[in-house]
Amino acid sequence: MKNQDSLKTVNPVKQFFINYAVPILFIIMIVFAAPMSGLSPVFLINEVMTRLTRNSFLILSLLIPVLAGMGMNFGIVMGAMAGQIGLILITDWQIVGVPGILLAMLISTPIAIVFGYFTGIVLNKARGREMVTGMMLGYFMNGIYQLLVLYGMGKIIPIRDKSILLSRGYGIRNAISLDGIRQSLDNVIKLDIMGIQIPLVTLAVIALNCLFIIWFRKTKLGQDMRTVGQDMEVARMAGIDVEKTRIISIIISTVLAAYGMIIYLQNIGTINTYNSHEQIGFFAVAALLVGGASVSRASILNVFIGVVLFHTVFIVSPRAGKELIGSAQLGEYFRVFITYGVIAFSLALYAWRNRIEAENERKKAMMLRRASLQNEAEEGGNL
Amino acid sequence: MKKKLIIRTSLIVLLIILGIILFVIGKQHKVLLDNRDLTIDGVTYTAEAAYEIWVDGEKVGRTALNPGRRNVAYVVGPSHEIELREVKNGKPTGDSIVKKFRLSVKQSEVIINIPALAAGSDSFLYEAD
Repeated sequence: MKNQDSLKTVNPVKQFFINYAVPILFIIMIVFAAPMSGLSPVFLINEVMTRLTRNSFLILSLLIPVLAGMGMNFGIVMGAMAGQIGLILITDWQIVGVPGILLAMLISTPIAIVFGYFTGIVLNKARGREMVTGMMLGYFMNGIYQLLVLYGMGKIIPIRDKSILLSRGYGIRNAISLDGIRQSLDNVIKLDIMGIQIPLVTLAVIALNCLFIIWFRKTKLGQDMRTVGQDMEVARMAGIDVEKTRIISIIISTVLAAYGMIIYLQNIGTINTYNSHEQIGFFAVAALLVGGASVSRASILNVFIGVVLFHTVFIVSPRAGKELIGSAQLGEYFRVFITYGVIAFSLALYAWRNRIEAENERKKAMMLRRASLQNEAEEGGNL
Repeated sequence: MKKKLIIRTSLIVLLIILGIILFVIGKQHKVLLDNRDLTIDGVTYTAEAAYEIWVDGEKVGRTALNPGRRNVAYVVGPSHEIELREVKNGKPTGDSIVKKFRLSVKQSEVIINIPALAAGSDSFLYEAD
């Protein structure tokens, strides 16, 4: 009995605070910064709604690799590049409105599949270090993307619209206006409830993605991914093609990221050709971690909590910085600090938690061993 | 195996068809509306009146298009309708003239000559240089 009591080493309240340290920290920050910012609740809710519809799809694309035990897929940057290539082409062809968005998605799909396949193969070779490898792959592919967009477009890939070409006649300009598709999806059906704009169709598309993820988890492939995520050796013994399953998870994630980037950019209305995709991976991962997710566990709820908390801090911090110190720029620095800080803190917390869990497991095993030896000794004495 | 291949090929063909449909229905065309003199096949259409113009139900410009002037409208898709109404002394007069026209995906920029359209010529639309 004494042994059993000593096994309960983890206090549930402490465990809760450890698990949700990042969201709790963000809630505290919002509670202090929101009133200080002086922003009206309607303005704040409107801004959060805009960012929710803008970012959610992209962040949802991170969930499937987590299911397959591959951690946060920093390789979504490649999906974002595929989405941007689709957008550049439809801008050149002057395809506008919802058909333009759908065509951009259609064009980006095969590109994202190829990128995802390539990423999956590399990540299979770098098992256990998927996150840092994904990040490096993103940088590597950024070079290829820049080569394609800066030299290939206008030279190899014909671009007829001179307004998006550099003055030398080839290469895409640094910024492209997406006038033709700007908020086309958001404006299909837009409700106005007490001054709060709700883009119903975009929300419906996000809801569809959530339903897809829920359905996918229940499929044979989804269950295989879960098994692979829990233990690769067990999955292999059960006859699952581990490598193929992992590649498929990355392909799905990359394709969803391409769609997410298109939804993101149609809302903003401009492509920053050489930069838009660069920070996407960090921001998406940071938002998911803020929502209470970890490298090994992430849910749809984490996505929405993360977007709301992360972006509320983003919205209020410049104003709060201005009110507090007299400089809005400090709030801007704060944003960047928060993004990278959250990722570092969450990863450190995850590693620390794993170590504690391993230590607890070891202690548990030792105690059980000691108890069984004690019992054996007592039984021997009785005889 | 053969069934799988057929399904995959059909899916790819279907997606290509969908892409073509999206391309056609989403293509934006720039339509220049010229209220200027034009000679076609020896016939000269002279710009004499001002017109209020609607393209696909949307009014082009805030005021009427005066003789010698040009305005621009952006349309999406292949089938369109243009409506004209002559304006005299700042007030619309007479019946409106309604004409349907089609644009191919290759026609990114076209010109509609208003005097030719008002005179009932079928050559009122031509590609911009």
